[in-house]
Amino acid sequence: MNWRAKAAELMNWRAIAGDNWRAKLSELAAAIPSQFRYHGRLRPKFVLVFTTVVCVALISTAAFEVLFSFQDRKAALIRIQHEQAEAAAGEIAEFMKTIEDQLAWTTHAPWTTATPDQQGLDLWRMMLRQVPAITDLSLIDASGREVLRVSRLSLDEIGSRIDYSKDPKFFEVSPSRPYRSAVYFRGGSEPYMTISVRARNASVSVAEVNLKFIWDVVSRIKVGEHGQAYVVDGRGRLIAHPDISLVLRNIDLSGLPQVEAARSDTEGAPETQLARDIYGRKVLTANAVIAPLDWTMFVELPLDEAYAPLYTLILRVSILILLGLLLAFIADLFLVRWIVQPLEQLEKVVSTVRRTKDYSLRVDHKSNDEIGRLAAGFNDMLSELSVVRERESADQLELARVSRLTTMGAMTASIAHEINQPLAAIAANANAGLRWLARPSPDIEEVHAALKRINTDAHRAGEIIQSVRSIFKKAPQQGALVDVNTMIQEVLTLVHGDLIGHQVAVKTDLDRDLLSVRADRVQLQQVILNLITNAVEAMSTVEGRPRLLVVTTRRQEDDGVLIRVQDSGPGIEPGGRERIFDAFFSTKSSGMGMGLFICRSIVEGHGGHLWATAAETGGAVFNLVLPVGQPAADEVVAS
Amino acid sequence: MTRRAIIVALIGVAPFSVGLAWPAAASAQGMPVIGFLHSGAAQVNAGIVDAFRQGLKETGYTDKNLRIEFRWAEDHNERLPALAADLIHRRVAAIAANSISAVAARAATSTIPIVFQSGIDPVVSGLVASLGHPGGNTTGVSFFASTLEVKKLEVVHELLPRDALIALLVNPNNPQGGVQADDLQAAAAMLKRPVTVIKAGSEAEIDTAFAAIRQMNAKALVVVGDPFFNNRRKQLIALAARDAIPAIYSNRENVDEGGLISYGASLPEAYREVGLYAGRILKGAKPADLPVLQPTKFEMVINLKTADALGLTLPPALLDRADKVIE
Repeated sequence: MNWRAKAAELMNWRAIAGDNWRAKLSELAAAIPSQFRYHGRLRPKFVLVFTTVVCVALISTAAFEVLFSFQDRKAALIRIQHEQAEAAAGEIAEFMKTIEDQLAWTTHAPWTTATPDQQGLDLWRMMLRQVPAITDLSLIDASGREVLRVSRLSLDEIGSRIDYSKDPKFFEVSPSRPYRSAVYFRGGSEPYMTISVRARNASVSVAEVNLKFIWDVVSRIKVGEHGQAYVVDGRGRLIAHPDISLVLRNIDLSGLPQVEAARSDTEGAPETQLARDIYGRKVLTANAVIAPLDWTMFVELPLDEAYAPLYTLILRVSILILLGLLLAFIADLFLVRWIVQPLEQLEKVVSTVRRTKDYSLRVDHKSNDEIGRLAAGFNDMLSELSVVRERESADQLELARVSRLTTMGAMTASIAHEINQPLAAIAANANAGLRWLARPSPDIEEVHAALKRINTDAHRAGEIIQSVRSIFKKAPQQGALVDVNTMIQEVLTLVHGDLIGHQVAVKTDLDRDLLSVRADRVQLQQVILNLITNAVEAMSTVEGRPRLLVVTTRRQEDDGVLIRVQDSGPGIEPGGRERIFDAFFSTKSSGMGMGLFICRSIVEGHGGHLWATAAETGGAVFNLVLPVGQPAADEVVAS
Repeated sequence: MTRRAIIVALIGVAPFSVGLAWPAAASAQGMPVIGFLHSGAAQVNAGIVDAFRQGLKETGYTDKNLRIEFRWAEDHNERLPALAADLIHRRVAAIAANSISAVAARAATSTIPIVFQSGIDPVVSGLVASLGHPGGNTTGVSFFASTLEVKKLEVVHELLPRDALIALLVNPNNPQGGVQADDLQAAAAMLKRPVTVIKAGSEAEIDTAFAAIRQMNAKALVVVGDPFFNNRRKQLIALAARDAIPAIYSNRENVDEGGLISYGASLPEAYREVGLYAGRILKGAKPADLPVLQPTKFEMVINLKTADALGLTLPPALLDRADKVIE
């Protein structure tokens, strides 16, 4: 059952009972031919390791760099924005302070007369001209009555006597601390605030300040390309923004998280750094309190803009990673070329040598690195191995021959010993007989008895020799006519079991026009049997290619018959083709070295030839030619 | 002709044909068009048109990517509805208009954005719901004109003896004319100054008005802020010079051209802001979200040459208050 059948059997899982499948699986695993099994490969491992190392190194470096520059940049931007906010807050505080200072001027003597005249009016008008942010300016006397008012939009008036004594701009102001009203929106649109200052004589100067003038300050602050600075009052109203139209809409920003956080003003609470601005854009935000006013200055930069350099960095790093991967890939190619390919070649040669035992193969790789030295070492090893193997096999053959010669010596000694006995007996009896004859009265009886014993011993010696001769059976025999084809079929039938056991396929190519030969049928059978047995044994080492026995018969032109026995074994070395027919020469460790010797003796005894040649396909060919026998008148061909 | 030669010929021609076709297509469909509607005449309003273009330019619009359709009523306010209708018919993206034209345009459309420069209170005239939140399709620049008339009266009031008569020149065709006259008369009452309201709505009536001024022996003239008077400023300045009448105007252009004094916000600055708003609207802003702008700077300009010609000595305090003195 081949492995495919085993696999098919395993597929039919219902047919497999219990735990039997484990055994079946291991059976299948063992049956799968090596070319179908998974072979671990170096190349994908190299690629994997290299790529992983490069990727991990580059990506971790990049990640660190991006992360740190992200945090550094964020911190730096927040710091810068914070400084901007502080500076801008200072500017606005300064702006308001200037107004207050100028207002404080009006508390000096000539300004605060209880009954101003035209000259006083001119003073106040000049003041209005010098401070563009002040729209209306008035003087309230100690009793809370307005004594003078100058305005950009309405009539100036002296002595209106309007009572402001209940107005906070009058009663909430002290000489040391000016009054600052909450921001109000004139006409629901323009942000204004009231500032008043009390003079030593208790009169109060009041200014209505148009806060649109802060626009100059906030629009001057450059926060990146699209960033903005704006001011929110204590109630969360937008009072200054580069886009004045937002301010004029009287927008309540107290809902923005950064405004809320700044207004709640918890000590030590972390500042809101990421938020959404008025337009809903994500921004980095920083703020600063505008000191005396309860206002907050915000400086905000859109996140997209803030992180634009980071995006560039990420892009750059990505390109680097790609480049690194490309380099890793190229390095990998070289690595494969330098390491994997020579190793693969080495592996191929090793497996070929193991399969074919051809020690003349060499690894074709030349370099002076470790792999080159390995290949050269391997080649050297192969050379040495081939020399050793050659010598070893020659030694073995010689050893076998010597041992056989020793055996022969022992046999010869034994034969000599066997023959020596009757010979010694013969000699003793002959001497005894001669002595009996040499007597004055020869004892014929005794001589007769001695001669009789000589005869017996001689026969014994002859029998011994006969028995040795029988080993060789060299005696030419007058055989019968034998049909060679039939005889070959008989022998093949005889060895059928052996052939199957050794997985040998047989091919016969028999000439039908063959003539019969005259031969000792049994001896000829012995020869053919011997040749076939040899062939089967020779092929027993063959792996990976078919074991094929081809038996051919041909009629020869000069009335001969050619029998050819060809195998697909390793063949015979050219130098050994004649030696194998020597007595006691054997390439088999268990052989006596007599088989082919005897075969040749028999064939030559029949007036034929037996010789070996090499087959074109690599095996050995034994050729046997026998002369065709002339049938006697009454003879029929035995089959 | 081989196929290759034809291809070469086509490639050679293609850029030229595209180059010729493109601008025509752009002006026909791609380029936005806005209308500019004004009650006056083109000749005397080059300054505000330049300022308007400047505002548009600051938002990225120039001749190359914006076409402006000008419609001048040339002081015939009755033409304004037809001119407005014409602009609307041409499907302009927005209309820039001065106060009285804006009212006409507002009457003709409630969808096309209108950006006004209004001397009259836009809430009172119904152009917007409130200054902070206009609410509809109109917004623009409000000019404080009516409140500033009082300040103009105050200036000339302080130049004259207590009982001298001051003439107030009002345009009867301006819907706000009555309000302006009322405000001024109320202020005159406070100042205890005798005043007389003289109405003039045409070139001829201006001549008659100066005859009346002479006849009533008025010692000074307040020309109220009105597009018509601004358009006719050459005539007014000439007549004031002829009759040696000190006059005060709203716009400094009058003083630059020989008028005595002006007090008010800058008209070109207002038109620049109209241009800015028009640009923002072209970019997608909604007029309802754009609050009405108000000027923050009011300048007093005095022409000393005119004062000399009138034989008038201006008090140093007034000269000190002036933002600009032309000598």
